[in-house]
Amino acid sequence: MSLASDSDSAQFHARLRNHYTQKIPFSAALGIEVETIDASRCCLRIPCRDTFMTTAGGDTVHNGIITALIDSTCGCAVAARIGHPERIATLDLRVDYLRPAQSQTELFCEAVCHSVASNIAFVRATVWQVEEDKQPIATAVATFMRSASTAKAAL
Amino acid sequence: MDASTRSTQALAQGRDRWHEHGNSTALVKAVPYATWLGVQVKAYEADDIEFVMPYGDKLVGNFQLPALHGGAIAGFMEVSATLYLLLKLEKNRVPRCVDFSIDYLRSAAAVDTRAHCIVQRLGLRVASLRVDALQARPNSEHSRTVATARAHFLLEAAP
Repeated sequence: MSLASDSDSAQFHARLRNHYTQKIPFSAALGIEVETIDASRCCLRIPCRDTFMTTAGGDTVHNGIITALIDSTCGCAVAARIGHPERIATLDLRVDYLRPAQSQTELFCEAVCHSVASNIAFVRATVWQVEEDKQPIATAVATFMRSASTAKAAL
Repeated sequence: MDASTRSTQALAQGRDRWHEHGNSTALVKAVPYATWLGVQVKAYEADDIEFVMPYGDKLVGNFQLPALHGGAIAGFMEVSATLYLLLKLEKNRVPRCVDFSIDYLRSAAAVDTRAHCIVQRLGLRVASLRVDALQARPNSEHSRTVATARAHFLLEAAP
């Protein structure tokens, strides 16, 4: 757990927000935005674009877009929970696609980093489209490897 | 004709063009996200297929290493698995992915990535696939596996 003060951690979370939307080329290209960041959970969203569809002219969003959103949100949740710059890498990620994601509506993902050990962080995530009922479209679990060195931390 | 019928037809036409002419343009065009990632379909060895995602700046996740984004690798592997299964299935069926599990073995360098797929089981209702993502090693003719994944697909009747 981080020993940082509240203002330190607010500053770090502001840097994370910038990092996960602007500094990562893939996230910036997809148009990923950060909704909320705090030490217990993160929520990111991705717009719905024609280029993200499963099939041309179809009405469902490609699973790969959902996976990209989940991977980013989980990484953000781990970084926020650790609370200071540190290089992290996804070890594994498993996604269950519960129902097709409809086009015309943005996607939200909330990730909770529920456990951090010295080398590994564990995360759970849920994806939904409609804010009112948050009915899940996909659920995921992921583990991340922590690196002791901050030398190549990208933020 | 509704949207899902139209898009299934586009996939079926892409599949036919690949089988008849070895041309993957229509197939990739039928899947907008595959086009966005820059995925290419290539004949590989005797009668198999491999998928290629050429390096692109927008695919980068860590610009300091540099390394490709895990989400880009995963998306490429999901696209590859779906197209691979589509090309192996009979004409009246389309695959729908129900779960996807990926292990990242090492950081993916800022170079082209290839995907090889294996159908582990093809049942009446469900198929299980394994996908390996490979990259060339610098100064070597051998490749190394950067990620491995497995996915389950429901096999649905084409409308």
